Parts: sequence; structure tokens; C-alpha cells
Amino acid sequence: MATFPALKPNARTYTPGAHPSTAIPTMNGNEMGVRHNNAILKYILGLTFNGLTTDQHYQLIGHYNLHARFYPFDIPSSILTGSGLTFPSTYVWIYVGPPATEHTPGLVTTRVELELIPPYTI
Amino acid sequence: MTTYPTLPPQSASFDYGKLNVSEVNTLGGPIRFRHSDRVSGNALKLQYQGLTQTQVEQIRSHYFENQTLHGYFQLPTAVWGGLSVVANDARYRYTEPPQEEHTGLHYNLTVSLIVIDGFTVLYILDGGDATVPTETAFTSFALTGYQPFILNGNGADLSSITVTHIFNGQGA
Repeated sequence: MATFPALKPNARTYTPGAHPSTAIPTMNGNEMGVRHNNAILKYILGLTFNGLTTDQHYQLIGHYNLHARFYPFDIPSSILTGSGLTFPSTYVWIYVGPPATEHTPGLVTTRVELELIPPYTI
Repeated sequence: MTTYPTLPPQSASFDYGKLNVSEVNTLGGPIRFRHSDRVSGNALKLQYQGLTQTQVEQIRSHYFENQTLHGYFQLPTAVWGGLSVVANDARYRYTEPPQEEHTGLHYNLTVSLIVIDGFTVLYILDGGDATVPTETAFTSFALTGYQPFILNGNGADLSSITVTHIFNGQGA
């Protein structure tokens, strides 16, 4: 398990996870909620890197190629700098999908989406 | 039950909910049933721009304190910014996790809520105090005297009639 490259993103999106739960509506408009699990799942972190060098871009692509949506990994603190975000300990990250890269002359922009999941052993 | 942080959004969009009505199709046409006096199910979307880290953490904390999408909570009236769309004691639930955008120093945030217990459609007619107005002179072709003309009814019991009405016709 290789840690995600220690790059600083230019922008982030963050969606906290949720308890698996079902809201069951009643006919008078009220609801009955059933929570199925103590765990909170599906934290999503989107990272945008602007102006990457070729080497930095290769670090991102290389890391994805080694992990894809199968091998979990950790992220370095530089990714979350200044965000105040905290996550359940022992949870690990996987890719939501492949990184999307846009090449314009002299500028490489890559966007990566990661999902936090409970730990599992391969 | 928790209370949402007192953070008025920069913009909000919402609908007016619905009465809890079901409809059954019959051979004679559809028949509708109303199951409660409440209007609920309003979808409410709050959009914040340029929040500080302290403010965004208030909403993050509330989201987790509320057991994410599972629990119900109340919304301070300040969040509605003076609009009177639902009752002040309405209950709300997150319909999806808050969506954050980190732009460097500040945060943009979108929060989606649904109203579970909104307005109660119950009308009470309140006539207020029945004060007799001041008498003023009144003249018409049919009646002459002083208004108001008050008809004092009594119990509907034919054996104890206590009011007699005399119509004194005059020259037409």
C-alpha cells in the first residue's frame, strides 16, 4: 500500500459519508427511520491539481495504475491542509474512478476522486 | 432533537410541500383521501458562499451529531430569513450529505433538507368580542328608529316563547 503522492491540491470538494438508513414514509406525512449500521460510509473527496509538472502528473497516474479501485491506501496530511477535516481512524481510501487529466499547452490539470472505506484485507 | 446552526444562507430554494393525500382510481372516477391536516415534504436547498472554517465546522458537527441522514432536527427561524413557509416548530431531515467546495480561504456549501412536519392546516374562526356599536340615527323606507336593530333570539322551545316581534306598518 503506497501512500497517495504528497501534492497540494488547488481545490477540493468534500462530501461527508452517511449512516446506511432507510426513511419509511407513513400516509399522514410522518416518517419512521431505520438505521442499519453504526458505520458511516461513502465519504467522497475530490481533488483538483492545476499546473502539474510532468513528474507530478506521472506520480498521480502511476499511483492510480498501482491501486485503481481495488487496493486501499492512505493520504498524506498535505492533501487536507487547512481543511479541518477528520476521518474515522483505520479507514482507508480507494479511487472512485480513474483520474481525469486535461492537457493544454504548458498546463496539466488533473482531477481525482477518492472514497473513504472501512478497512479490509486483501 | 438537535437544532441546526443559526447560519442564514446566501440563497435558498424550496417548494411548498404537499397535503398527505392518496388517490384511488375507481370505475366512477378517482377518489382522493386526505390522511392528515398537515402540509409536509417541502424540499429545501440552502446555499452558502464564503463560509469561514468555524462556520463550516458548525454544519459538519451538526450533520454528524444528527446521525447523518437518519435523525430529525429543528431549524432556527433566522435560516428562513423572515419567510413564513413552514411552522417554526417544523422538523427537518438531511436528504443528502452537505456538499462542500474548498476554494482556498473560504468554503462554499450546499445543504439539502426535507420538511417532515410542516404546517397544520387548521383554521379557527375567531369573531372577537361582540361589542354593541354606538347607536346612530337611521332612516329608511322600511324601518325607522335607531340602529343597530338587534334580534334577540331565545331557546328554541315553543312552550316558553319570551320574545315577541311586532311589525308596526305605517303608511307606505
